[in-house]
Amino acid sequence: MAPGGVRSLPPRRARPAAPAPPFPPRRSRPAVPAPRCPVPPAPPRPPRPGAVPEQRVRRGPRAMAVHYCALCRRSAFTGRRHRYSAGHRRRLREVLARLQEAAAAARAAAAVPDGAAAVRRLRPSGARGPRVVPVLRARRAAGRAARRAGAAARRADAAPGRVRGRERAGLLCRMPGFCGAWPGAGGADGITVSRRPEHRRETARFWRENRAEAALRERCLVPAEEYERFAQALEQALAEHQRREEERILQVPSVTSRHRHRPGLRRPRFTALSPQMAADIREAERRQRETVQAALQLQPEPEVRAGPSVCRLPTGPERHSPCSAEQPGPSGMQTGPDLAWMEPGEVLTFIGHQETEGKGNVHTGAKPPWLTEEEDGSKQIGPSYEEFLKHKEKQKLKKLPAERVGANFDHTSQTSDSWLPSFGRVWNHGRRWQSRHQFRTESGEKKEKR
Amino acid sequence: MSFLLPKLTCKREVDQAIKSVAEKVLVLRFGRDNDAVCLQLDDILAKTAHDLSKMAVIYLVDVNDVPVYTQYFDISYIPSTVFFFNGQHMKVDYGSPDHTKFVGSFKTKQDFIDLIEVIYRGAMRGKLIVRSPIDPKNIPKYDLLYQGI
Repeated sequence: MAPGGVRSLPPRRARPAAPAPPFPPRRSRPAVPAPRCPVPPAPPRPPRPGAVPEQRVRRGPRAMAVHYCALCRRSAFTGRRHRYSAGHRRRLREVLARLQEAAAAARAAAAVPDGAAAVRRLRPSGARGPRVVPVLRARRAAGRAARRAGAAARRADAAPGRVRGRERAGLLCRMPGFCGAWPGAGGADGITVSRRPEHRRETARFWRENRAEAALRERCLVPAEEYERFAQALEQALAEHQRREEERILQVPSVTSRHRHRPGLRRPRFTALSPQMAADIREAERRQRETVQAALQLQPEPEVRAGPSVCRLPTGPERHSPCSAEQPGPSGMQTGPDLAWMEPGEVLTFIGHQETEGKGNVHTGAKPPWLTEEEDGSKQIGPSYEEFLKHKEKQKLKKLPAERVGANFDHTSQTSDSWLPSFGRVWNHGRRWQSRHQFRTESGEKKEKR
Repeated sequence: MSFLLPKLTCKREVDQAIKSVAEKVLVLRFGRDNDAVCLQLDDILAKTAHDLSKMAVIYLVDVNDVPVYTQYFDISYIPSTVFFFNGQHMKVDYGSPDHTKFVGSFKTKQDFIDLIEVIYRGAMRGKLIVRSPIDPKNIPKYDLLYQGI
C-alpha cells in the first residue's frame, strides 16, 4: 500500500448514518463488505492537479474509499487492495510489455542519424514513398512529426494505459493519473511535455503506486539526451527539406509568390509545381491582363458620354482612377474590399436637388403624400351617402345569426367558370364519420348509445 | 426590362398602391426607364419578383410623373428604392447616412432578396427600421445632400 496514494477521509462520527452518498457510484451495490483490514485514517490532502480524483462513497458508519483504477478502467470497491489483485497485475504486465516495445521503437527512431529518414518513417503516408511537400505543408509536417515523436516518447516513459484512437495518432498525452498535458496544445509538443518535471514526477508516482519493477522503468524511459539528439536531427532535416523546396519554388517565382503571401490560404492545394505548369499559369495570367486592359482602354470617358447631369460616385480614391486602380487578376485573388463592383462608366443619374419649399420631406417628418387629401377637391368632406348605405347594410347583417350558412361569404369575390356553390353540410372530403361527429357536436346531441 | 414589372404613373396610383398592399413589402423604384443603372436594377427586380411574390410587391415609378413623391423622398439620384409595409414607410439602416431609401442598384439578386426578407420579418415584428443584411461594400456610396436640415 503506497503511503503517497492514501487519500481516504477519516470516518466521521458526527453523522453516523448518511442517507445519500454525495457521489453515488455508477453501479451501486446493495451492500459493501466491511473491510477486513481497515485503512488507517490519514489527513485529507488536496488533490493533485491533473490527477484523476478517486471517488469516495461513504456507506454506513465506516468509510470505505471506492478506488477507481485508471489502468483497469473500473471502480474497485475493495479500496487499494485492488492493486494487488490478479487482474490488475496482469494488466500492468501487459501494459508494461507494450510500453517496452514502444520505448524500443522510439529509441530506434531517435537513434537514426538521418532525421529526414526518421521523419519519413514517422509519417503516416510514408508507405506511399517520399513525395514533394510544399514549404507550408512541410512546417505542419514538422509539427506533426515532433508531436508523433513526442507521443512515442511519452508512451515510452509515461503512459502505461491502452493506446487507442487519438492517442495512437500521437495527439494524446492524457493517460489518467499523468500530467494531463496535451501535446500540440498551447505550443507544447510531445517532447517538451515529456521533459516537464511534473511528467517525470507522475511517472515515478505511477511506478510507486502500482508496484512496478524499477528496472522496467529504466528500460521504458527514453533519456533526455536521446530526445535532444533526435530533435536536432529533425531540425536539420527539416531545414534541408525547406531549403530544397524554396529552391524549387524559386524557379517559378511569379505564381508561387502570390500564392504564398495570401493570408487566407494556409494550405495550398497544389502539391508540386513543375516549371511547365508555372509557365502555363503565367501565360494565362498575362493573356487575362491584356484582355482586361484592352477592354478598359476601349471604354470612353464617362464624363464625356453622360454629359453634365451625371454626377460621379464619390466612393474614394479607387473610384477616381478606375482604369489604374487595381490589377485585374483571377477572381479569387482579390484581397481588399471590392469597392469598384459597379462599372466605372455607370454612375447614378443626378436629377437635381429637391426643393422642399417649406413643405418638408421624409427627413423632416412631414405628412406623407399618401395620407394627404386629394387636391382636386372632388372628395366630399365627411361621410358620403354611399358610405352611409354601406354602413346601414353592415348593421343589418349584424342582427342576423352569426352561424348562418354563408355568413362569411364574400359576395363581391370574383369566381371563375369552374366555381360551384357549396352543397350544404355534406363534406367533400374526409370520412363520413367526421362529418357525422361534427354534426353531433354542433347540434349538442349526446353520443349515440349502442 | 422594366416592361416586366407594373408601373405607377400618377400620384393617385402610388397612393392606392401604398394603401392597398397589405401584409407585404411594397417596393417602389423611383427612376427612369431608360437610365442605365435603372435598367440594371430593374433587371434584378424583375428576376426576383416571382420568387418574392409572397413577400413583396414591386412597382416602378417614374420620377417625373410623381413630383410630390420625388420631393417628399428627397430623391436626388436615380434609381432610388423605397419600401413600405401596410402603408407605413420602412426605414433601413444601410450603413449610409440615409435610412429612407436605397440609392443605386443592388449588386446581386441575392442582396435584394435578403433585404426584402429582413424588411418583411422586421415589419412582422413591428419594427419601423431594420438593419440591412447587405455587405456594406456592396452598397453604392454617394453624396447625401441635406437641404437645410
